[in-house]
Amino acid sequence: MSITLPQLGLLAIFWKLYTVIHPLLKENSIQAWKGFGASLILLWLGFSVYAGIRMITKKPVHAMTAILIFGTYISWMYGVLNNIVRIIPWEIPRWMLFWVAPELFLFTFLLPGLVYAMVLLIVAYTPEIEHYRPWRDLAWAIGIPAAWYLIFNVFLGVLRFGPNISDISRHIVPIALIVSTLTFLFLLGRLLYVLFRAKQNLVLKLITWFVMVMPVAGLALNRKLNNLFGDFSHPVYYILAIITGGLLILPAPDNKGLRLALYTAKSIVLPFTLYFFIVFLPFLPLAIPLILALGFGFLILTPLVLGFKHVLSLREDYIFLRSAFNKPILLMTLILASTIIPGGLYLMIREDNYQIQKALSYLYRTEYQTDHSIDLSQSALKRAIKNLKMNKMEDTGVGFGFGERTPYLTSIYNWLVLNNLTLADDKLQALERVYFGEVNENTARVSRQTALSNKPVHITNIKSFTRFDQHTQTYLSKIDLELQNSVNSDRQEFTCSFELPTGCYITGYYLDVNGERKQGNVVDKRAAVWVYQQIRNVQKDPGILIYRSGKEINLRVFPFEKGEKRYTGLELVHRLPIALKLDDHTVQLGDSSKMSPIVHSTKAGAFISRTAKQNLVKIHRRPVYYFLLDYSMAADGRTSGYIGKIRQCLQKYQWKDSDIYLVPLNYNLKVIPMEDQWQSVLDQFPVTGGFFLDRGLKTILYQHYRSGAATYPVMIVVTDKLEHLRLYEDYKLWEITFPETDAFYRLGERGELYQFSLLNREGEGKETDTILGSRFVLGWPRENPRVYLPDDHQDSLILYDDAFSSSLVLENASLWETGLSLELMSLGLSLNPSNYHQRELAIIRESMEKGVMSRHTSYVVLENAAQEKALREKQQQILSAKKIVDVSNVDHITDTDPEMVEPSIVILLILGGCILLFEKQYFIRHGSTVNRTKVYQMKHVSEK
Amino acid sequence: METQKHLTGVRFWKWISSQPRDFWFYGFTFLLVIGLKLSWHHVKPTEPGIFLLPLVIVLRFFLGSPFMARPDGYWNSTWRVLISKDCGGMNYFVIAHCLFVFLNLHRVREERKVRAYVFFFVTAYFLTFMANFSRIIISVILGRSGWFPSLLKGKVHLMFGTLIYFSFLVLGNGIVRTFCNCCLNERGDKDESN
Repeated sequence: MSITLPQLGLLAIFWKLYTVIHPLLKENSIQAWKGFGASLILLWLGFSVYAGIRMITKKPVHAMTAILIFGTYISWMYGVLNNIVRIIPWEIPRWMLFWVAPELFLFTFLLPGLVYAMVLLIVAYTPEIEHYRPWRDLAWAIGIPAAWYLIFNVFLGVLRFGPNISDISRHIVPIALIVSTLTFLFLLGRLLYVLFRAKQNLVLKLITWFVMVMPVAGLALNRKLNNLFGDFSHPVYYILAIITGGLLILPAPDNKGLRLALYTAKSIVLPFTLYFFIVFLPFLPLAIPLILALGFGFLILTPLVLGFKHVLSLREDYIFLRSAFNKPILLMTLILASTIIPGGLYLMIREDNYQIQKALSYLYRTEYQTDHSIDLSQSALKRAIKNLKMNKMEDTGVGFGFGERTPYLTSIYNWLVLNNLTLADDKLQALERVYFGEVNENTARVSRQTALSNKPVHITNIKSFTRFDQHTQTYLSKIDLELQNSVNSDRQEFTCSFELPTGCYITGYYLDVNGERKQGNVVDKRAAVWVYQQIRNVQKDPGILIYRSGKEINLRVFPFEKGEKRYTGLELVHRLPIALKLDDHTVQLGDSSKMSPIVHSTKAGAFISRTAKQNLVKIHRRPVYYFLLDYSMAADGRTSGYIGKIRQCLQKYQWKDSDIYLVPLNYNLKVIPMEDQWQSVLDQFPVTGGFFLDRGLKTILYQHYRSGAATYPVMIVVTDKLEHLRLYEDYKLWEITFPETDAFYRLGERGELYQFSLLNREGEGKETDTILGSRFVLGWPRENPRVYLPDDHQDSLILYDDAFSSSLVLENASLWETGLSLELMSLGLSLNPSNYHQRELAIIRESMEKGVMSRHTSYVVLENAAQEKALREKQQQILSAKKIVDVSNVDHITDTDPEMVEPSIVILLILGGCILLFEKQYFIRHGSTVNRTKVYQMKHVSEK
Repeated sequence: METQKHLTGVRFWKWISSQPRDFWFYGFTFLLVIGLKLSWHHVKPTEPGIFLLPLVIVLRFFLGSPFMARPDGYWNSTWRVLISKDCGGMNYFVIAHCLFVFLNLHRVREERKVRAYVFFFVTAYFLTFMANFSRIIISVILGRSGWFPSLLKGKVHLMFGTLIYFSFLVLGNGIVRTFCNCCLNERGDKDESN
């Protein structure tokens, strides 16, 4: 068990790594992988088969097996570590290894076998107590580290100025170190074993201080050493260490009830001891060097001694209690008690997961309703945010790669809470801002502008080609770009942003990589951005095309050497002639004089050309006024003054109460007409959390758009905090909901108004006396208009109800119709993010199948198969997460086209096991079929 | 811990060679299963293979509309279902074959073990086909006709699949045992009756 199962896990992990990185490996590396892999499989098979045979024959394992295990596995590990650069070359990026440290896994999975071998050796080669001379073992055990101390500090110090011994020491020193470490551990283990057997009282005294003092001291020392082995600084670790130590040194009572209580308590803390045992097991070989160099090698030995003592102590209790209680009761007690800590941890993590998903869902996946409140556990949410922030911290490189993380627990936390994905900084900041009113500056916008202002690579030549397809009545255009690095430095990146006109969609993308033209693939946007960033970090050749804000498209190509020219291009489909502006170049696609009136309707909405808009009726809509009242924690005690200011404003502008709505707002909101009972409703609204202005504004805009009413909203924010007027979300896609104006206002102390913009976030609001928005809009359809379009001589889109709810199913749609439907569904998803996952999957699937880029997908060109595989894995991970996370293949996009997956092998094994058990029980009760046949025959004969 | 130091290599090999024939069949089954799983891992989703192709052909006949090869498997546009590599039934086949071998091989007389083994293999294959076909056709028809839409995906689909698989495993095992009793004779049965 100690060899077969861990090494099976090791083989699985390394197989997974190999399948991802093998396209990047050279021949000698592949040979090394095959050689070491095959030898490990042989070792694993050999020892497993041998163990299986011994189990079947119910015979013990031969003691020489331990020597064989040491000889083979240590040689194998030594070989692997010596060739680690061949096996995992430096050029393999860490992200391709999924941030796994192969060496650490090697130690973690192989050491259980070695520990087993050591125990086997100790038990087999420990003489009877009367023949054993402990002082000799102790002397040797002390002598080994002392000898190494002398060798390193005296002899090698003397020889430092002598001949070069590096070639000799390169192999001899490590081998000698390994052998002596094993000998040291053997002697130490044997000493402890004999002491346990012979002088239990003395041993208890000896280890009393060890199990009591060393765990706590070790935790403190680890903290002092910048969390060398991981972050165990939480007080819970100290408390559990003290409790565990205390329980282990308590004298065993003769009272059975008390003993059972002690046994249960020890079982409860067993997972704590085992956790540290597993964490420190891989570092066992470092014990001697660390004792020599820094003196804290005992820190590594502590969890191992503690684990040893804990298990022995439990065993003693178990043997004692067996006389009074049934075996199953004792075993069940052990199992149930030892699940308390992991169970509690699991429940806590689940609660964190629930709270964070609920909070995120409300932020990003909930329909904008006029009366919405969310019930949150603020403490759990705060803890979850703190943990997520800590997990996002970069590894400082100190220690053994854990940094601020807690070994294994951090991975489990990330897996259970976020499915191993991360939460972007802006989302974490939004959570803190909305639910706790804690504001952190978002630097993303600044860095983006800095990046765009400095462009080393330019478009040097553009060729375009357009043809009109009579069958689909669309233009198919192709643009070829020649790009050149104009600065005198290597590794430059080309970036270009351009506006894609309404009704124009990208259907193809290519990039020349090493002289070969590679066609792009449509993939999930988050996975594409992730893989592009990872590849760019290791200087490979990606190209990417993505939607940014509104209609803005961003094209990026990397890298460019000094003066290098590269070629890329894209394909477009559009219904009307268009002009594209790429950097300083304008490309005309189609004859601009041929503008025809087009109204094209789909299930999700319609496209209305600028010429068709001329036929619509002009309407002047009546304003209604929404006062968004700051009910966040920061406004506590000031809310009573709001109504006075509003009254002043109403008097000043002569607005009627029937046109007024009050919207108390924090992370909850409620729209209250200023009619009867509004004061009592307002008084009951709680003051809590942060001020979620974006939610308030979008709710009002969305509800107005969906209602189709002949009124337009004038939104006035009532707050004393100017920083609460900052908008964090994008309103470019929301332009269809405010055809009159993008203005909103802040109410001043005397009832005066200050103007702000939904689209222009910069600058303070100007004081104004007039409310904007008295301009005409175009009503659609002409009779009984339900949707209002801006009178701006531009093509427009209209959303139908289906765009806000259902998933997309396109059959026999042309490329342009697909693009239009994807655009409409994306807009619908932005305006109403409910049921987000399913609708987004539908968009991504259609986009990938038809090759038309949408707001949720990207075109990306990668250099090699390994990158494409990594991309697919990340995409699959994102799409199957069903959670609001950040950085599929089509297999997982099955919400509408289900896949008939068969039950897993584990389920089937259980089924098989059930049948086996059933058969066994049946034949035990009724005898085998042979016996039954005989009984039947005998009965038959006797009857005759 | 008990140890035994006297077992030499010679004795070990003697012991190995003295094992009954069943031991070698079990070993062979173990290797066969690993080999099948590994080779299945490398099969492309659209590669017909011995499991997918017959399944798709028969499903096409019963569903009345063709399957289209896609990068991720075979897709039926009318019924909107995807039959991918993961639907092939390899897991079921492996378990069924192992179950038959481990539960029934010891009942068979020594000289008939090879043919019994082949019989187990063929039965496991056809049982896989039947179980998988039943699972898919019932899920698709009940799911798409609106009777039981949740049968098409998620945990309900898996639970239903498990139920069907279990029923077929019990049925298959019963058939195999009966066949062993009738035609291949149980160990010692013939001698006793004689």
